[in-house]
Amino acid sequence: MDFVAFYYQYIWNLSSMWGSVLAWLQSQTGLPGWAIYLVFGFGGALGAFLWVAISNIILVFGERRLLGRFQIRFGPNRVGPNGTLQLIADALKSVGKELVIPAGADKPIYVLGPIVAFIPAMMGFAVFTFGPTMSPVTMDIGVLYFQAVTSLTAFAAFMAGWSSNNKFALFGAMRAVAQFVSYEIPLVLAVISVVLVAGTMNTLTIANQQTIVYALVLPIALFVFTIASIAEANRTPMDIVEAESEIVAGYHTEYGGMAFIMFYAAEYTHALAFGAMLNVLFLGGWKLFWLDQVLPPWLLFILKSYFVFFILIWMRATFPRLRIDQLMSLGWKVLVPLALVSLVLTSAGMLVPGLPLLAVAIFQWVAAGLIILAVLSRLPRRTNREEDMRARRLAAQAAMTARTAVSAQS
Amino acid sequence: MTVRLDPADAAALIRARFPEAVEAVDGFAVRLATSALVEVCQYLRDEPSLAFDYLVMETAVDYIEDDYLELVYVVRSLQHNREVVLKVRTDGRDDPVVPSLVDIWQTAEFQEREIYDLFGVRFAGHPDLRRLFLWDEFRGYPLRKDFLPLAQ
Amino acid sequence: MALKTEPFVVNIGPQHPSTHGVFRVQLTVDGETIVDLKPVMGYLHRGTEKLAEEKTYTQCIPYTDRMDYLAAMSNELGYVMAVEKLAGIEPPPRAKWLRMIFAELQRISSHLFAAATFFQDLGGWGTAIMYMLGRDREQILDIFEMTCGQRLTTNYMRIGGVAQDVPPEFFPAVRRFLDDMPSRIDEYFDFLADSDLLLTRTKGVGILPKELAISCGCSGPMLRGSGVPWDLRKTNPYLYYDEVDFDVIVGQNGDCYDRFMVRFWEVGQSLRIIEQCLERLPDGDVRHPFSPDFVSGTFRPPKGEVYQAIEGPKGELGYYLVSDGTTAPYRFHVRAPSLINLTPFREMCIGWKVADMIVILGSVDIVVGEVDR
Repeated sequence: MDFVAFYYQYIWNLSSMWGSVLAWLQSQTGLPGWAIYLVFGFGGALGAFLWVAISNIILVFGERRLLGRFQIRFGPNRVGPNGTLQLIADALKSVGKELVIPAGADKPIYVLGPIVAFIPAMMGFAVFTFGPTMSPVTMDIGVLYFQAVTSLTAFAAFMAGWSSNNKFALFGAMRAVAQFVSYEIPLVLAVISVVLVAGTMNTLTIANQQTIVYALVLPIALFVFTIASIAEANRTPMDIVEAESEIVAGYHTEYGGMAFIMFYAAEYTHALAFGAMLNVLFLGGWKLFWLDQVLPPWLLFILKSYFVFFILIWMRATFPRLRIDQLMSLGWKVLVPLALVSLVLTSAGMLVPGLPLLAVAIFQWVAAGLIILAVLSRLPRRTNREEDMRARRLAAQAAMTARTAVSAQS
Repeated sequence: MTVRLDPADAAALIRARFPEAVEAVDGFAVRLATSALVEVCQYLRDEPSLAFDYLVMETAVDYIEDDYLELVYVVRSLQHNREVVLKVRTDGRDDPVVPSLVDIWQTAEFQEREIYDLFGVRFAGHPDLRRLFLWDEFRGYPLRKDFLPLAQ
Repeated sequence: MALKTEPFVVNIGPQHPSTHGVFRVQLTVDGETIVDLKPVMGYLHRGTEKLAEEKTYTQCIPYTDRMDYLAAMSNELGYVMAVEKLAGIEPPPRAKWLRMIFAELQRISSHLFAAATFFQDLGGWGTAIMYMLGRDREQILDIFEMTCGQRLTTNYMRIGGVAQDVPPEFFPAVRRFLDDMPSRIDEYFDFLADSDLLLTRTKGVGILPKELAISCGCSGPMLRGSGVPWDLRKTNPYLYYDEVDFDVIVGQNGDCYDRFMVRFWEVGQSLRIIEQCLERLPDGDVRHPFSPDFVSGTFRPPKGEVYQAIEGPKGELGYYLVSDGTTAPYRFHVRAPSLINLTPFREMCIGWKVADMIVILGSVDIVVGEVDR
């Protein structure tokens, strides 16, 4: 049993396992420290990349099956056991396709588009906290770094849309730039609330500090962050950038084969990155009640991130999408003020001596309650089924009686 | 119940205002003179006791043996629930011209384009008279009786 | 500093996910705002009217199926009623009641299709489609299949009756459908029609004023959505519509939401009509003794002309027939509601965004097979 416990400890903390491997490597080969550090970094990057690659397969397949469940159909269930090999088949088909470059396209930019889309989405994974000490890179400005690299996706969308020489792609590109840039602001403002409470931008510290999850302390910031990250990750109901019923496929209309797969993977990576970031900032990363005593933290972190993604799938199956001007007004007129309110309340709460966290929580919840009350009181009364139908029928009957009277007169 | 206005009554109504307008009456329709079409329709729509505000349908028929095209208008009053059928004959079948009713009932816009497309009747005063279904380079008018599909 | 901008032209269609077939819209947009719009049609023009002039009267029936292929029963009904009026044939009562049942089932199916694709156009990602079409409409299509062997192009109506009597399993199937639907309508109302996102996207969008609707000859849910209570089943009853009890539904503002809601509630009214039809369905023959066989070449209506309109799901579906006393119609014209409902499309769209154009087109509910014929 000691044997099992010994190895379980390694499974528990992958980075310490990796560290032991490297220590062994150094003792055997006598490589200089910088080389070992390089290998260590590459290992972390490889691990994160593997996780993203496997996650993409799991998430795409899971989304298709779950959407099937939501829509009383089966989803892919033919290829392989329960359809699990469907994704492999799709990927093989796409890889085999020719990359068609449309006439009049700006070729270098057109080819760069999908690469630029994927890399920044991937880079964000460097700062995630898979466990108490597990993070591919421990960075003191982790949060800032994440916001900075993930916002680069706007460039990719614009490059792809502009270089495609297609009007639908241009629509998509313009919408992408407008949407991404607008939603960057509430997103960052919401994150600042967390940073204020945590007192650091280091993701590892933020996750470890959460004895009580920040979702309970900062409800307004959580709300703003969720909505804004859906918009940033370009998921329904805010996927106007590639609204298939309006502008075909948005900025990647002209892409096929592997290039399309890159965009597709970038979208899912992006969504997963925001799900994982939400997890780190608000849900305590790898912590989950007593379960983190039993299961390895990295497994919990992954499962929690998938749970956030599951909510995104749920929304996709439920909501129609917004219009561009409605989306913009939601961003600028609702989310930015809310994020500012959250920021002010958090700053005020942090000045309270003694229990700043409790003060922040009280401030935020009271404000959230007031806002909800205000919104509810100003919302138009919801239509009642019977009333709506009766009104329409009565209107018709009244008008028809009036007409019969007119006919009889003439 | 929609009252199909008896064509004879309708003709009497129209004659009372426009003595020259009605050319013939049968059991189905009132046939108007082409020159009087627009003013009669205007009158039918604007006179409150008639209020024929709704053009149900407009189409054409090719009577090749008698060498004319006939345009058929089914006009209805939603207010009084009455219906009347008007007809107009073109002068021959080579490049016939009929006044357009788009200014009176906007619904005539597409239907007149359809008739122009398939029968080759030109509508004077139509704002945008192009082929509706067939492409612009198409020669001939398919719904005419002397149209031979394979000859195109 | 004001940047120099200029409008540019986008072709939506003819092959586009949301144009409901091969319909093309030439948009002139200023950014996302529509400044001008030209509908272009004819990509599905099959010359039905010309074809019909070469066929016998009975052979025309399948051609009518293929115009509005989502409402084949209604198309056939209008056509056979026009021929019956021309020839002076009165079908037996059982046939007429059956025709009403099928016309109303077809109306429900068509309205469900309109509502489901409307959500798809809004970006609802298929959920409404799977529920409304994959579950509810499928039941209707199963009923059609057990009755006449076809699901879409039914070819069931005959001049002077219907093709054959309904099979015994028809009644339990309709019964089940009638029992299932009301709770589903409630469900759709709560989750779809009353959802805030739908209200934001459709309320006040694409307003069609009453006067414009009348002048443009709009009919069906388009006209009723604008507040004109005009339903041929009430104002000009045919079959036994004057003997059954149902209400006409109208909208108040004439926006996309009202057109959608008119269709939505009409489903319930159609269920009421079917219920009454089932109660009153008499026994007896379903074909008139002189009803021509399907391939009959001897049926010659007398000389004359006729215009017969019925209230199809999309609007007033009229047939104008001219007979010259031979076996084939001399002129066969369809007053296609889909085409005529598109007349105010330009006025409805101008000033709205590209995304709204799709929604407005969805609320007009066209079927390109009928627009182009």
